[in-house]
Amino acid sequence: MRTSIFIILAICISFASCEKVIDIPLDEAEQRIVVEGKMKDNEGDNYILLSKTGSVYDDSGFEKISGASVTVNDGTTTYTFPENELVAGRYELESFTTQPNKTYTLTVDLGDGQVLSSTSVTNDKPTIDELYFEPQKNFFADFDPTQPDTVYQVFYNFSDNGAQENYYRINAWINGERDETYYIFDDRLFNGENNIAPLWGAVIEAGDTVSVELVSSDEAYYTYLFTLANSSDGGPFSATPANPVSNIDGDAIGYFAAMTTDTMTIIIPE
Amino acid sequence: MLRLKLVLLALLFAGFAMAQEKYTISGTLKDAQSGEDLIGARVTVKELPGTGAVTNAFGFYSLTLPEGTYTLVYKSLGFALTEERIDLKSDMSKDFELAPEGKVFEKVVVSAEREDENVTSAEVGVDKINIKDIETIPVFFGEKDILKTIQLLPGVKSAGEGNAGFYVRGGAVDQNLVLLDGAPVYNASHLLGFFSVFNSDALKDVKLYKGAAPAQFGGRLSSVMDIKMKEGNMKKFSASGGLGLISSRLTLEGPIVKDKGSFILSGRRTYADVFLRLSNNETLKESILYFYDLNAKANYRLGKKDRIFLSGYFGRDKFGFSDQFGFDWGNATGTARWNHIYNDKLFGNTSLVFSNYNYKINFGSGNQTFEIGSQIQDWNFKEEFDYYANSNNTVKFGINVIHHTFKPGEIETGSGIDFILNDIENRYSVESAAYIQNEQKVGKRFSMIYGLRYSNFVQIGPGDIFTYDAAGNVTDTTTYGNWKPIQTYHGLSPRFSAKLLVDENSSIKTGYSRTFQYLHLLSNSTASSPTDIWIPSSNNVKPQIADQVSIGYFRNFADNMIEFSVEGYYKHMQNAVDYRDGAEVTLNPSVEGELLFGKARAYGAEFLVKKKKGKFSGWISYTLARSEKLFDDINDGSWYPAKQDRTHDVSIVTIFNFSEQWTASASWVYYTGNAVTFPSGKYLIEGQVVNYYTERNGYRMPDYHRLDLGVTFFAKKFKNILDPETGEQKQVPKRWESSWNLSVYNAYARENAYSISFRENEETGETEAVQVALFRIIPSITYNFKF
Repeated sequence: MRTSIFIILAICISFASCEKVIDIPLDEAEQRIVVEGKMKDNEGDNYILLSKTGSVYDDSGFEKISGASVTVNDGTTTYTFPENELVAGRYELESFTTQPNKTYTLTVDLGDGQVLSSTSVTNDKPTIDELYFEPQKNFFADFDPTQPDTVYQVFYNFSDNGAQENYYRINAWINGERDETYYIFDDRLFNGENNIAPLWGAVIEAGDTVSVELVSSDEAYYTYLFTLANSSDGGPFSATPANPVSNIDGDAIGYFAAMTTDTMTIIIPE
Repeated sequence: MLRLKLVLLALLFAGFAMAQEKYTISGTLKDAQSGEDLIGARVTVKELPGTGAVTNAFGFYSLTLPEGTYTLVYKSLGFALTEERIDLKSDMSKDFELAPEGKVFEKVVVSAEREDENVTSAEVGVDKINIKDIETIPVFFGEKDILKTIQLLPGVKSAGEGNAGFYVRGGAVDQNLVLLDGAPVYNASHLLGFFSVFNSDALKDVKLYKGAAPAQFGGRLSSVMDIKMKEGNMKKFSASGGLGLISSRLTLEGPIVKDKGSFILSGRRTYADVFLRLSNNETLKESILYFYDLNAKANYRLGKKDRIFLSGYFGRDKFGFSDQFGFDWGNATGTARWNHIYNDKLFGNTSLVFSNYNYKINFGSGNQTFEIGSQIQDWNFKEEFDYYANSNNTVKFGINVIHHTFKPGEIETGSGIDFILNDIENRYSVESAAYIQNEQKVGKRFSMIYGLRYSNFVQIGPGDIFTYDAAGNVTDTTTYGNWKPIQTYHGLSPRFSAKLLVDENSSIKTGYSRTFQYLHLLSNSTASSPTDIWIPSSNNVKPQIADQVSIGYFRNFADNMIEFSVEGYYKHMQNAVDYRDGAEVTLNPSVEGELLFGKARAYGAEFLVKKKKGKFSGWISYTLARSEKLFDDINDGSWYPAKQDRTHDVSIVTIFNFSEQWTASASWVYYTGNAVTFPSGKYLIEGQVVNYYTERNGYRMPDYHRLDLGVTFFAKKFKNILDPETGEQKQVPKRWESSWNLSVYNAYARENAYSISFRENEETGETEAVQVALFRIIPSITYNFKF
């Protein structure tokens, strides 16, 4: 019996996969401009970041692009986004907010003759109907005694607008700390229906404050996030690695997205 | 085309021109010990060198000769040669049973065919494996596996550890037609590719066509793997099995009515979960991780001319975690078959075949559950004939109709979930084909196989069918009713192969084939997985078409003890499939919009040296190859390497028989790393560092190599007893046969890369290339028995 246990043990040890850091020489890609533009329907939450790509093994930080002229047009008015004096490459306008069902156009003039542009369309403002929680046995507690025995699954519930093609993202914060899971989905499987789903990526304990933001966007932002989440790391179960699909016109990568949002917060009782 | 048909007809009937009194001798050949049909056994005529016949897949042979007296020689490797005088004055029937050869040392031979089969056969690009021959080759966890062993032959490559499937001559995983008793097996692997679904105990014969496949096969571009199950012992009841560290097997076989009908039942199950249940850890206890297989087959002779077969396979992988999460997948196949001997020259085979592959993922518990599933299901009718026109011509012809059902996404929710998720619509299609082929001998040195296959594919309703623009967006939807044709494709696939004997020991062979593939496998990840889905050709997806030419030189040395061959091939493929950047494949109703279409080509040279007999046997195979793709929207429209592009691929297999009881073996494999996409830059977005890519498949994984070792100990097969009549010692076979097999996988513990990802070190923030290897060294022990 002892021997067989030993054999099993030996297998378990050799079965465990082994990770190591290896040396792989990589090519140096030509530097590209990166645009990250996010427009929301609440004040102070709107910005455009301009930076450049760097080489894979260089960890000295990314080059920022300062001094660009950045404007956003909502079909009637053109808003100028000035560069933040403290943060290079960050262009923002405190008073700006998006409205439902409008088309926004971004124009970035880099001053050297290069102009980048993009458009994004907002949908109806979404509404979170309800947040609720259910206690659950924590499987990891068996492996890690520092973890609590019970964790909580938080569910969100909202209704889809059947008349529109909608794309959603859920952002969640647990006690102010961002849950880094990508919760992104379209309405193809529940068009016009009520949707309930859990925050499956988060470990939520008694006493936690959970804030959930429901974001409704156009297809371009959804596609960008989907391709970013699925194909950028090269793991065995991700798709063939590729750059996320950008909606920026001009020689740049990244995205520009105008969205409508709703937020709700729930506190798990002690 | 008409001219080609006329030439074919002319060739076909060339043999009938010289009319004289000819008669036919026909019958079946069987193993005297088990009553199993002998496939590919030879019947030759001593008085007429070069004249002969080969038994078909059901042991049937037919030979037409001028009136006269002959000595027929029946022979099959591993069996004693049998001679029979016949006086051929009218059509006659002769069934024979050949006795197995007694010599233990002859056990390790690498082919069931006649000794110089590789030189004399007109088939080009064929690998054959006899199940008995792989017993001693070291394998993963001691589980002998036909699919793994065949990957040690030239031109056939493993898709890698943790990947289902295999690559043949630069083709993709979905371009191999895997048939088990004529039923297609859509996912031939267990546990993400570590084991194949084929339990070797239940199998009889495996043939892999990588070149010009016979016209009876179609539907895939790269290869046909034709696997036949055993029929079961006709003479006596017997059991065999094996006890391994992670799995056990048991096979029961025996006569239903002696010499008339038999059955075989074979099962296998892994039990990693049983060990997990012994664990103190509550979580591990609730984990589910196993697979099982069941093979069953029965046959019965209804008379001299009719025989029926029923065979089936059912296997499933189960993976899960208490009642919270479950993931299971598997194949089910069934074949009902009727053999009929219409007359001494015409052999008919009618089959009805069912095949299903599905997977299910479920989560949640109680009434709060979700279940997502996908499946493909076939109903297949085949009518096939072998017509033994005369001793120089064997004609095969037949028809085949398949109805395919595709269910790309079925979603079910428990009663406690009060919202609806819509299923993804099913797709239906009908694939049909008709073929004719002749194998003809022209003189003593030249023979050829030529045939034509016509195939037709109709995508049918019901369904809402989308039309896409160049960017992959849906532009239009049309609704079709039941059985309404949506899109039709058809085409002619000519097949040709020829052999010219240069001298007694060497030959040159050449072949050409065109193949059509109407089904395509879509994978949402770089590793192939059980959730890959099959889609049919449609108004948006054209069938893939391949043209392959190959030429080879075959030579045997030292009285057929050593075989040498070199084969070269070039393959051109149209309508190859690849994905748009960041394609969404799972649960996507408009998945066809995520696909790109282009061209592909593959070419290479395969070398094989094999020592077949003696104490020391084995082979060395080497393949030098390229496999490339060309798509307008990928890598700026220039040729790029396919994932399976492997420049060098080497396998060395050695088997050493120390004595009747001890056999040691070693195999070593080496191949160039797969083509992969690595980043050439990085940037910051959404608050995280993201890789920047410039080229698809522009880099290489590190080279792969691995050594496996095995030792097998056979308990004595004979015992000495006192002969009661003569009073002398004599040897008799023991009823209980057993063996121990010890094998070590990855003996020098190389950490071969399974995946490489580039990510930031959590402490230093520096970007690193992190390699994951699945295994270091895996020893295992298996006990096998038979009685």
